[in-house]
Order: sequence, then C-alpha cells, then structure tokens
Amino acid sequence: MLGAALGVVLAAASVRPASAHALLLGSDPAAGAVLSEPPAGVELRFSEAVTAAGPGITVLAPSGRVVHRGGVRVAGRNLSARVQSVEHGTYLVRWAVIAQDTHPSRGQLTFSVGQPGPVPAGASFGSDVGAVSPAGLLLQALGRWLHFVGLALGFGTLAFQVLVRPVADRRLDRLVLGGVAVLALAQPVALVGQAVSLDLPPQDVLASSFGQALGLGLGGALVLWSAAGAVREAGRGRTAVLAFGVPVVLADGLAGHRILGVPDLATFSLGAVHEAAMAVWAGGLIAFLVVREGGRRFGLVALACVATLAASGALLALAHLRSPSDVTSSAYGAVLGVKVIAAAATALVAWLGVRRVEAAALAGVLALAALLVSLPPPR
Amino acid sequence: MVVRLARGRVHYAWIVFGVTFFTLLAAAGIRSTPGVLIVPLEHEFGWTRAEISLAVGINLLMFGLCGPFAAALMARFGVRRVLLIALLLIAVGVGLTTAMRQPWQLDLLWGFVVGTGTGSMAGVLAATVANRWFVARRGLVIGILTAAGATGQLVFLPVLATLAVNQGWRWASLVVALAALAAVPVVALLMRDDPARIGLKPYGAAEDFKSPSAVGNPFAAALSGLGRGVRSIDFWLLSTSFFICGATTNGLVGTHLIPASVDHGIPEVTAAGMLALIGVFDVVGTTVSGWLTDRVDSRWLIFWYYGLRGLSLLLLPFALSSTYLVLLLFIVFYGLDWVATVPPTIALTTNIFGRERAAIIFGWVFAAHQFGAAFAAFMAGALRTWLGDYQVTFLTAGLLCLIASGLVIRIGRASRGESPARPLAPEAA
Repeated sequence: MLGAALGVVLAAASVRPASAHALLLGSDPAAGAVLSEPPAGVELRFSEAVTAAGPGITVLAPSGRVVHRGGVRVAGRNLSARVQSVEHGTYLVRWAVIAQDTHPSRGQLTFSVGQPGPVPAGASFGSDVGAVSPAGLLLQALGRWLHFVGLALGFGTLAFQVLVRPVADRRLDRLVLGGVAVLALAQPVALVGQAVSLDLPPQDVLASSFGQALGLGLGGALVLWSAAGAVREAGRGRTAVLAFGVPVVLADGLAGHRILGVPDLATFSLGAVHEAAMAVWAGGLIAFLVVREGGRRFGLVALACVATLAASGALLALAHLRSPSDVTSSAYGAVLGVKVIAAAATALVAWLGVRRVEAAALAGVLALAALLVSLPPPR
Repeated sequence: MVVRLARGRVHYAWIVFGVTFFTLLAAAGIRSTPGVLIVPLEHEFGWTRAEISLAVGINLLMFGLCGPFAAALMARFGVRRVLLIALLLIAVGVGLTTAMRQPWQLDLLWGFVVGTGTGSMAGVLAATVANRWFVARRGLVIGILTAAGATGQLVFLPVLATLAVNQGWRWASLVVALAALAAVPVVALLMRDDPARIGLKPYGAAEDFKSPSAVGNPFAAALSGLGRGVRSIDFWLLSTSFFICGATTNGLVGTHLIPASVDHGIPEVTAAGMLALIGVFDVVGTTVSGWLTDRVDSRWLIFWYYGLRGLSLLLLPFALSSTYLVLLLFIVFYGLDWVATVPPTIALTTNIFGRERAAIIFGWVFAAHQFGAAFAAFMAGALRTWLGDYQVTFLTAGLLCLIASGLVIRIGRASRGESPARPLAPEAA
C-alpha cells in the first residue's frame, strides 16, 4: 500500500510544472489602456498554468452590465473570454484563478474605450492580502494549522510509540484517532477557506488542483484511520503505518510553494522533511505529556527534530526570499521573520525542559507556519 | 434430443452448466451496454448525463432488488420458465430503445424492463443451478459462473463501442437485443429445471441420493433473513462495505469510465478496451482471491483490496490527464480486485452467520452492493452535470473505499469469542 501511495504522489508530481502562486503577468487589453473601439475579448497571462475559479473572468461595461459572453477559455497560462459591447467609457475586468499549487488568487484591472470615465461599481479588492480576501486567508491558515496539528497527533504519536516507547497503550491509540479526526476536519475548513478567499461557492473551487489536494488530504486521514484499526487487530505494524506518513507529507508538497528552477520532487522532499520533523517533535511532545514516560529518550528525538527543522527551514527560506530585505518589504518575509524568532524561543523552552510551555509555544509556531504557507512567497 | 443427450457419456449437468454459462455471459454483456451508450445518447438527444445516469441507476437497482426474489420465483415456476421470460423481457426492452424519443422511455426500458430481466438471471441463477445439478464440484461451478457474470460485463465493451461509434448506437442496441433473442431457443431446448425431471441424479450424487424437498416459503425466508441480519453490527459493516464495493465498480467505473475518458480526449473504443482489460485482470484477481480466501483471514484480504482500490481511485484523476502508462497502472490495479472482494465477503458472511443462513444473508448483502451501484451510477452523472467533471466523484469514491477498508477490519469485534474468525470454503453461496 505504501508503494501505491508513493505512486499516487509521484504521478501527481510528474504532471505539474514548478512555480508558486499564479501572478498576473500581463493582459490584452493592458491594464489602464485606452482603446478606440471596444475589444472582442479579454486575455490574461499568468506566471503559471491556472484553472478558472467560478466564472474565471468577469467583464463589466461602463454601465455596469456584464458583457463577457460564453465560457472562459483556459489554455495553459492564458485565460480568455469573449466580450460583446459597444459602450464607451471605462471597463472593469475581474478574475479569479487557482494555480497548479492549489493557491487561489484574484484581482481586477480596468481599461477604457474612447474617453476614460468612472469605474463601474463592483466589489473592491483593495483590502486583499496576498491576492485573496483577508477572511479567506485566515480560514486557509486555520485549515493548514488543523492539518499540521492532525499530522502531529496522528503520525507524531505513532513516531513516539515506535521511537521512544514501543509498548501498546490505549491512551496513545486514542491520540492517533484524535489526529485522524483533526486531519479530516482540516479539509472542509480548507475548502471553506478557498471559497471565501475568492468569494465563490465551494463547488466552484473543487474542479481544480485544489480539489485533488483536498481528496488526497482526506485520503491520508482515512488511511491512517483504517491502518489504526489494522494495527489494533494485528497488535503490530506501527512502523509500517508510520512509513505511510512519508507519502502523506510528500503529497502536501502538491499544495505547497514550488521553487523556481528546482525539480518538484526535490522541493516536495525538502518540505516533507521539514513537516515530518515538526510532526515527530510536536506529536511526540503531546504523547509524552499524556504518558509521562520516556523523557530522556524523547529529549534526544526532539533535539534531532529541532536540528532537522533548522537546516531544512533555512534552505526553504533561502529558496523563497529574493534578498534579506524581503523580510521587511513583503508579508511573507515578515511572517517568516516572526516565525524564526518564535521557533528559536520554543527551542530554548524545550532545552529548559518546560514541556507544557513548549507545547503551547509550538502551537503558536504552527499557526505562523500555516499563515506563511498561505501567503505568496516573494520568489 | 434432451433424452438422447441425457443418456450420453457426458453428464447432463454439464450441458445445463454450459447453457447457464453462456446465458450469464450474455446477460452481463447486456448489462454493460449503457457505458457505451451515454455519449452517443447525449449527442443525439441532448439529454444530460444526469438524466441518462438515472436510467442506469434504476437498472442496477432493479438488478439488485430482483436477486433475493428471483430465487423464490425459480423455486416456484422453474428455472427454465423464469429464464425464458427474462430473456424475452430483455430482447423487447432493448429492442424498443431504438425507437425512443424521451428520457422517461429510457428509464422505463433500460431501467425497469431490462433491469428486471437481467436481475432475474444474475447470481441466484448460478447458485440455483449449482445446488440442483451438482453435488461434486459445486464450488468450482459457482466460481466459473460468477466470473462469467462479472467479466461478461466488461469483455464485450470494445465490440459494442466499435458498433456504436461506426454504425450508431441503435445498431449496438439491436445486436444486444438479437443476442438475447438468440438465447431463447437454446434455453427452451436444453435447459431443464431439475435432474429428476429427466430421470437423473445430480452430478457426483451418491446412489441413494434423494432430492431435498422444498422448505418453507422462500419469500418469507428472504425477509426473515433480513430481519435477523439488521440486528447484527457485523451485517451492517458487511453491507456498508459491499455498498461501497458496488458503488465503485459497476456503478462508477463500469458505467462512467468510458464517458470520463471521452471527456479527457480518449476515444470511446480505446476506453472500452481499457474496461475490457479490467475484465481480463478481474479473472486473474478473482481466481487468486478465491485461492487466498481458503488460506488467509478474509478480513485482512478485504482490508487490502479496499485499501488498494481506494488509492488507485485517488490516482485516477491524475492518471486520466497523464500518460497511458499511468492509466494502464490504474487498470491493472483496479482489474485485479474488481470482484476479488466477493469470495472473502461470502466466506466472512458464512463465518459470522453460519452455513444455513449465509445464502440468504449474502443475498441481502449483495442487494446492498447493487444499491451502491445504482446510487453511484446516478450520483456520478448528476455531479458531472452539476460540476462539469468527474474529479470530485472519483476522489470521493476513493475515499469511500478507504472507509470500507477501515470498516471491514473492525468486523467481528462485537461477536468475537462466539464465532471464530477462521476462513471456510466459500461454497455456501
């Protein structure tokens, strides 16, 4: 089953080119252009292949009338719609897409025919953060936070049982099932987050790469549930189930940021190592707080995790920041900066051995990580 | 002629077996036809996929509902008469579709008429013939007849698809109707209800064999079996997992893989070939599964079957937009456990409910299978019409399989101790 699961991830990885969040590179008519005649259509060019979310492109004439006709056409990185209008004045074009890496983005631009006039009334995207609505961004982050917590509770507890305390314990079995529940809950929250981000009904975002990632996420939770039953039945096999965590964290790469110029599999692996170390540390910590045994051995495991997190985190930061100044000039950089400080503080608390504070601090770091993955990186 | 054959060197039971084999093969082929009809019907009439899928759903539902009662009808009126009526129903139902104009006519003909006809000669036919005509080799006979039923659904698809694409869907339907009609004289001439009618004993029966007298009202037995089942947690676990099994094989992949492939630019005949290939791998998978069922705890077998099926369904949306090689991988995986779940599910039913009650309980578990198939056939079409593609459907089906995997491994916990979870030979079907 492990091989089959890896096959799913590899097959999924093989069909998508590398990139992160879809950025609007240009359009025809260009933003702010003044034309003499109304155009026959609108074409948008993105930084990577996209799927249209909902209508994809909406064109409003100066009178406020919807003037795009027929369905939106998707051709790789290009999105286009036909326009039928004779009005003069300023037109408003709004777009909403989902990138290959499942991240949603939306935006708007104007062009004019004849004389520029007042912009037709439409929802303003002025308050958008990272090209989505702020509420949507927070819900996306909440979904990812739940996903991280679920991974930690599910697979982290298993790792604790395999690495630290290899005896059957009903309390720990229940923790794993709790992890399954949180992992499963994370997916509908992510769906709502995606929908709110673009202000669309949920079914409009399902027929996309996001829908596939959603399915794989729920699949990971259900496999863990069914495997937990099998372990209980057989009385062994925890290591095999723990190994199944590898394709699960690799699959998260599908919804993570790609790194330009680096093969997807390498990016996925780096992300997977970072995520797995987090799960083993955080999940192991909770398991330790429950059973209060194996503290010395857990300390060593946690130390290895912290070292892995620092090394893989540094590589990821180098890959996604263009220059150190991004820390102050972009939302992504700012959150990353805060997260690094918080993670260092957590490691310090861990070194001091105040486990409860350590757990609370880790939950905070996970929240920052969840927000970070939801924001567009500078690179 | 029958009298002469009955005195021949080959026991007449094998002739009855042969007739049953080809009838089941034909019935299965007929049931598979909607898969190749969906796209042509959309093109000609402009019906939505939801409307067409409703008829397929009704068909699968009738097929399942008829099962428990067809056995009763065969006990009352004889196998030969029930078969003849069923074949005529199918021939008339399919033949009339060539003249239809409205979606409700498709629901009536494909759904109710053909569904009842095919349902009357499905799995119960195999069990009835095997029980009446065979004492020795009963398991083998049931195995081959079951495989005929499952594989027949897939292997004719390339021919039907070629006909539908080159000559039009009406020709494909007419050929199917004629095939059913051609079986009528064969059944009329060669089929016999019972060995005693032609002065024989069942194959492999001892000299002092007495044919068992009918016990009780079969309708009442079917219903009391259901009453007993619903009070057991294990019955619900088995039924739910088999519901998912039906949903993900006959209902979803059997009905919708061809239109989904066409959506992704794969030609209809190629897609039908893929389903046929699933059928070929199904023979291998089911045979191996039957062999394994005698050796390994059935729960573990089904646990793995559903787990692997779930993962391959999660792969399908990626596979459809990827290379043929990845798609081939899906087909091998999927084919191998298409009905591989049947032998261990029968064995598990026998273990939990005992040999006497197993047949009737399994009849109801199988009805759940067809409920699942009907539900999925319709829902997949409705979701395709609503959302514009099959991605959500395939992913949901994969997730359901993973749930089934988790359910079956929890079977038997409630009754642990009173009934051992040791496998028995699946001959009680």
